[in-house]
Amino acid sequence: MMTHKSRRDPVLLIDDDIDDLMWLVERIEAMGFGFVCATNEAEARDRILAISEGRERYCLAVIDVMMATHSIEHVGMVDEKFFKSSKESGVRLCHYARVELGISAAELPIAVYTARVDEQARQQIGAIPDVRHFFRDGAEGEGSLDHHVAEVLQRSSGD
Amino acid sequence: MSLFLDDHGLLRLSATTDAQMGRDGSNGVVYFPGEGITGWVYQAGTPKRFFDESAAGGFRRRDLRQPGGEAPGARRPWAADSAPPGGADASRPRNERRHSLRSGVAARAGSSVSSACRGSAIQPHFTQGEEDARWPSMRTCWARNFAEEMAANGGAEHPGDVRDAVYLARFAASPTEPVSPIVYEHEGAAQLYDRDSLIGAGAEELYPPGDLRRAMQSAIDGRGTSGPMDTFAMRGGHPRVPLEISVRRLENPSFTPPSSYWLVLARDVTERRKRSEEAERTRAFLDTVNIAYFRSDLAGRTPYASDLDCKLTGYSREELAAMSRAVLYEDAAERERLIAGLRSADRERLLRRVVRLRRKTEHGHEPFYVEADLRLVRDARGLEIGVEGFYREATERITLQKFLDFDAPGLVTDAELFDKLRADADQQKDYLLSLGHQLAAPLVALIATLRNFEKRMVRAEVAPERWAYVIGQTRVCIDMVKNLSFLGRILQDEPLAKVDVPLARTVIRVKLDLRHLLRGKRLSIVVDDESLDEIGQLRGDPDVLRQVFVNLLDNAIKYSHPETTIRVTGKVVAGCGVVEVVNEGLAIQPSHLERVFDRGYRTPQAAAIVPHGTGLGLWLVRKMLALHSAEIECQSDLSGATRARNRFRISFPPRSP
Repeated sequence: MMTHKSRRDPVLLIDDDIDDLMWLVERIEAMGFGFVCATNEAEARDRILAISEGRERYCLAVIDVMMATHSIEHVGMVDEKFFKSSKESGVRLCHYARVELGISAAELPIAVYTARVDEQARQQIGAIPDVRHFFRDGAEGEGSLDHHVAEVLQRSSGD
Repeated sequence: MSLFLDDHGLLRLSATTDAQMGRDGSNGVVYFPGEGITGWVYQAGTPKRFFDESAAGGFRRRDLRQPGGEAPGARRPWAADSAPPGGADASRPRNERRHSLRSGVAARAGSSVSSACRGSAIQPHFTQGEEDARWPSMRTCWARNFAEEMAANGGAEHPGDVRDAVYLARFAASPTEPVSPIVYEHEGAAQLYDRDSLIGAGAEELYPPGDLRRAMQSAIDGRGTSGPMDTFAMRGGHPRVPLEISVRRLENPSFTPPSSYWLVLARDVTERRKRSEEAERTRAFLDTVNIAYFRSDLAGRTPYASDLDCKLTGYSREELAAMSRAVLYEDAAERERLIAGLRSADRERLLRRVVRLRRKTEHGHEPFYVEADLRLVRDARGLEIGVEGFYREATERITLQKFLDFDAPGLVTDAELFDKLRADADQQKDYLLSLGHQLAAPLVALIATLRNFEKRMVRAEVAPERWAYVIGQTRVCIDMVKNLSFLGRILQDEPLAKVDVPLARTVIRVKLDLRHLLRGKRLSIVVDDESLDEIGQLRGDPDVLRQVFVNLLDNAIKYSHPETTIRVTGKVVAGCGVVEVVNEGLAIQPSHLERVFDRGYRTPQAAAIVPHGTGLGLWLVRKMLALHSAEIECQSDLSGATRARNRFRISFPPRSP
């Protein structure tokens, strides 16, 4: 887990390749927010459970749909028959937060993104309430991931 | 004292001083010289054969009229290849041999004769009337023996089980003379001609005019026998039943004048022709559905080959009939191995094999594959007489299976093939999606990072690190595209450049290009350039060899534990350059060690921690190395509960001077 302290609630970044999210980190930091990283599904579930139990607070969760399910340190301890597809790990996390734990959009806004056009993932995410889905296509402006993040963080600043 | 008639090398009891002999109607004994203690006893009209099945004796009796009453493998005195040893000249037709009487001693068991000893020859002379009066059963004996012989020579599958019309007719000295009346009929003979009895009938009237005469003339012109000849059985004055007839001229010079007969065997071939036509239709149908059929003998000659068999093998029927099918195999011993396999297989089932054969062409031979269903052919006694098989060409299917990397020894089912095709298609789709993701994610990050620079959002103290990221990720994207390019070159067998490539410098440059990937897990790469310099230069394509180390180091970075070191070392072993890439990472189970080089293969653990992999990297490494005559192997030695020291070892060939 990678953390950056700030007086405001940090952003929870859930992606196995944080290097590819550093551009977003720079914008988050530029707006005066910190961030916490979870780099696999198992670790992210711990964070989300902590939110549900009131132990942790985040102003936004940004989740990659296709993500590692385990860390390299722990994967060897898990029987491979329990492995789930890493293609929908982000979808499972959204379902876990919204449906299984009942974390509301007011408690935790969630933005998921995919780096490719994946209709199946889009439909799965569409079935989960209060989750915004973005294609990470490099575009900026209204409707893009970075625009959405900026909006949420601005609202959070005004709270 | 007993007298025996030497009949074609067999001894028949002729006269005896033993009052017990023939008392109950026994009126004939046949002894097979050279077969040990054996004999035929005609007792009350029922032929019994005694034979010795063991050296210690112990007679057993079987009624020859019972199906299968003869011992399996017993010698058949009438068979062309088993003339009785010690008998008359086997090269001469039997009806030309001289008959003689011999004195001998009969060993009697009760009222039956169990054996006979040969004695000195006596030339007997009986009148025709005496023959009729004293030896009526002789004709029965002859008829049956000769009919069985004729049936056997005619290819009947059950020569000891004659069910055809057999009769004896008095010999007419000339074909122009009327045929003498029928004097003996085998049971069932009359039935074939829809009569109560044939006795007294003229043999000619049983066939269309002239047919029997032609058969007889042919026998006279030949060696005493003729046939089988196609004709019909006359019923009600019309040809009704298709027959094959064989005739044999019999002469017994022991009588004065010589006792002469025509032995005629008439076989109803209605069913056989029907079966033959059905079989021919079936074979023609098999040809239309591209299934070839052959039937060969144990020596490999092919008496029957379907049109498709000829077409597929490139040989004519005549050639197949004369040659051994062993030459159809690339390895001539393969046929014998197949036959050995058939012997050990279930008799009732066809043995299925995919076999590589050779087709004769104008320019030599070309290989082709068939899927064959084979079985041993056995005769009624269970003896192997040949091999028959159905097969279809499977060259395209095998080529397709090989293209799809099927390891199965035979042909896989359509369902298996479809599953593999679908899996490959899914794999390709996954590959494209993964590739798309792997390219899109860093490219999006790159442009977003560059915009951050543009907007001056990047703090000065992290700017060098971010520029390194931009440059490094750009190289990663280029390398991915290069992988695609190399994939295309490999698949199209494009020739590679052959220049001297400095090994140490190549590896160090790759390390520098991938440096930005080390930061996240705080990894380090140590390149032992001195040891690599021992190997010096490699001969090959510099871009391809660079890509080998890009893929290997990228793989090591992805699957290394944080805060570990990846080491690249070299040494020379027996003139070969050996390079090792070692990392502390995910343990690779023994069952996965070889498969990590398979196209698209990823261990479940690898997929769990790096979801975007394509499974192409290591496969390409092996392919690219193979183009340089180099080999790669993987070892994974557990160094902890869940971590291992993984060693990828490349062996380059010795450099030619």
